[in-house]
Amino acid sequence: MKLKHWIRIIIFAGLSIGLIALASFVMCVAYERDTVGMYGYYKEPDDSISVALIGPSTIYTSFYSPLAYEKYGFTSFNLSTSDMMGASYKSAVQLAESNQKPDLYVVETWGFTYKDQLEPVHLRRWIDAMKDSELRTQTIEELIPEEEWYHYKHPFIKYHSRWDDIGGCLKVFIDKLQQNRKGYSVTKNFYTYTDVNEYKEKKSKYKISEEGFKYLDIFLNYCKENGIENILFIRSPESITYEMDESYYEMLDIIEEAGYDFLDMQAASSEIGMDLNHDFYNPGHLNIFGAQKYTDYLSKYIVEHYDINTDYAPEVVKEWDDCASYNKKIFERLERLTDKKTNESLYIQRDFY
Amino acid sequence: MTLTSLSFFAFVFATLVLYYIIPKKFRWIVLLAASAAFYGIVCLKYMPFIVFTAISTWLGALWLDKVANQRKAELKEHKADWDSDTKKAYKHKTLVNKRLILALVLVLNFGILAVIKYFDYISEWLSGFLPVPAISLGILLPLGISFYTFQSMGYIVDVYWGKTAPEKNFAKFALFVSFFPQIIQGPIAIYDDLAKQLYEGHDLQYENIKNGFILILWGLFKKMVIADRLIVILNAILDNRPGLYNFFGAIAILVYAAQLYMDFSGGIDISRGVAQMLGINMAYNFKRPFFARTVADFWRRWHISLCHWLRTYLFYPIAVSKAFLRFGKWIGSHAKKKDLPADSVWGGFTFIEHAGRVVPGCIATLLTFLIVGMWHGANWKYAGYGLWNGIIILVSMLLDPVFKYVINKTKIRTQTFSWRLWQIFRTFVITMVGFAFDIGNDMADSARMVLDCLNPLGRAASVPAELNIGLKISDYAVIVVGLMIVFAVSLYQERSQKSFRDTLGKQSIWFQWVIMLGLLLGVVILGMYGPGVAANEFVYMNF
Repeated sequence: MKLKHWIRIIIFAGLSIGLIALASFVMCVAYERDTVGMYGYYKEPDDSISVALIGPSTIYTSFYSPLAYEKYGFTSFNLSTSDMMGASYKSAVQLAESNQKPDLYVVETWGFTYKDQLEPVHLRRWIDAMKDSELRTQTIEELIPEEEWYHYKHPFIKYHSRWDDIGGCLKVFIDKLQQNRKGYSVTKNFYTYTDVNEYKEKKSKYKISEEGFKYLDIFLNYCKENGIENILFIRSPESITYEMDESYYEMLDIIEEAGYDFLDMQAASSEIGMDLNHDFYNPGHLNIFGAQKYTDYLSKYIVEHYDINTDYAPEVVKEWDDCASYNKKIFERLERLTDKKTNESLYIQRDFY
Repeated sequence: MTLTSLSFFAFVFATLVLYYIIPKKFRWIVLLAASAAFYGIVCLKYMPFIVFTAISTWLGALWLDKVANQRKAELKEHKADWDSDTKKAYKHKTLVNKRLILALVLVLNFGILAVIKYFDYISEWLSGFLPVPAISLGILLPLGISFYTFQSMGYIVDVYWGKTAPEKNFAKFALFVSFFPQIIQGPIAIYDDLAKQLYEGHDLQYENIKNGFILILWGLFKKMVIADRLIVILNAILDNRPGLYNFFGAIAILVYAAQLYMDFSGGIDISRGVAQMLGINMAYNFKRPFFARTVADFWRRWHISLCHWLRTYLFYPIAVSKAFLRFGKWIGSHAKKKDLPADSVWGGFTFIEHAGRVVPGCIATLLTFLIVGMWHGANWKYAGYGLWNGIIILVSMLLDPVFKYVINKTKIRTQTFSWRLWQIFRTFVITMVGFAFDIGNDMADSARMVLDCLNPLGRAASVPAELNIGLKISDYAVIVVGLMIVFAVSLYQERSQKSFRDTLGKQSIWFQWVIMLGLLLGVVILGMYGPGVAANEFVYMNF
């Protein structure tokens, strides 16, 4: 075989690998919101995030980091995906510790209520939103049966079949490119739905599952062993009336014994000023009105109870000032759409302003 | 490790690297090691079967050669002192010896195949009307047993006929029996066509790598993009057939025909592509079968290697055997001699004379197709499949002069496109009826499926079953576009009688790359694989 043939083969192989890599980058979007939201986390400069919030949708629908920065001066990020379960919490802390080492972790306890802590669809949302890294591989190997590692480690094997939703894929792809161009995410993994839920009494039971206890134990042990001192466990407000199971109080005891704090924001709903007829888009999630109150209350609590370092490098200040500069515009727009009940899922940067 | 798995392609890549880096003289050893490793990885438990076939065939061939050489030497030595009767008696004795050796090898190997493949089914079938319990051997079909058995037996017959010199080196012969790209589903090779290519070391050639790669992509496209979607539709219809309108039976047959062709020819393309990358040209196994104009023509285009094997080692030996020729003459001897014109109904002969000429071929045809059917599996429905095709060919052989007579008298223009189209359509319908035997539960069910097509809006159950096929509209679009692409390429090949790859190879390199990258991305993105998608084995892996 002549040299020119070798060159052809090498160029062709390069083109093939490049195209397949591009296809896998574009098409791994089974959970668009989580993918886009967490993509922004990896854009943050190292050691620039003071507070990491961990948990399922009650976190990313409720806490708007640029508002907390504007009013209380600290940076934060929602390490949060849909139905994020307690089993994934350790991985989230490991991720934050790997490049941010925040002063405080805020952890939503709802994640420990899931019966099946390794439910594949929920688990995938967290794992697939993580950047390909050693930590991601470690998370997969800890939580997934060995025979399934291959398609978790190479998500394209699963998501190549999403070619028929190429519109959704491209939307995410473009947003990733936008974040790349800007260098950071303006909305810091926040999501809202423009609707107002009219309150109707709904009852349910708040119960920590057996597996939830197992992963709470794993999580606490990891934090203890790694010298993580500041963790604030929270229960976010909902417009659902819960009957608290014994297991809930057992969980609180465990948290207290471990030396960590707990804040029941559901119990503090009146103090926060939650309007059950106006501040939720569904019984379990806050809309933009509720989110502002939530962010304000929790941020205030954080700065009053924890020593949060707000001395940031100039480029970090520049980034966060820029993000906060959109706040007024964003809230005006989202409040208007929410009052009109336009029923839109908004999470992509350009959706917001 | 199936032909579509990443592990298979990693295996192929490793084999290619090893093959081309070691000296030419030893390259066949790499192929042997790779073939042994492949068989061991996929089917270690049943490896003794293929080893037995290799050893018994190799020894049998050497024994035959020894007898033949002895015979030559003896005849040479006694050329002067033996009279013709002694020579004749000696020749007869050695012929009997050779026949016994051949029979021993054939019976042993076909016996193993028959027992493994048919014992359980026949036992169960017999227990249906005899007071004996069904016995199961509990042996799965060893990988490629039908293919390597036929291939090896073809070799021993060739040695017996003196067409092929026996291979003295067992390792080389073992490579011929077990060459890994073809072990899963063929094609069934003739020793003289394949062996030499296996044993000589090939140079690394760009054209071989490129063309092999295109063929592999084409095979993957047919299998993973089209066939593995069609099988979902087929299974959904077959699982719910009693509650569906009868015309779904016809749809099932059509889907099966397309699925089987895409699956089998796709797998063969992958095998041939891998072999080509190693510099080895394996035989064609398909030649656009749905363009066939007669059923006989169909079988010259469909599973060519099996049909060639059966024609060479079964049909011709039967059709031209002394007994059959005598039988034909005996029939013809009953005819009254008449002086008929060449354009008469039976082509210038009486019916009896014509029958005397074609009956040996007809019987051989019927037997051959019975074997074709039974080769496909242990169920009487497969015998039905073979017989259906055999009877159609038999009737066409018998009535061939009549058809010609009618065409002549009615002045049908047979060189027109419309006539060719009619022939293709007619053959297509006949072969579809044959495929019904493959997908029916048994012979009666298959016949019912065909007859139900005459009453398309009837159905067996009063309550219609939910037909949730589980494919999206976009999947149907992929099937339609995929089939159109395959049809367009086939049409080009059929009309031009040229290889599409050769034509592509003459285009600019950029155009070639666009096509190749398009195929690659087509397979990677549209292929049916990944979690939640059942990996479909190749249909012919089970034969």
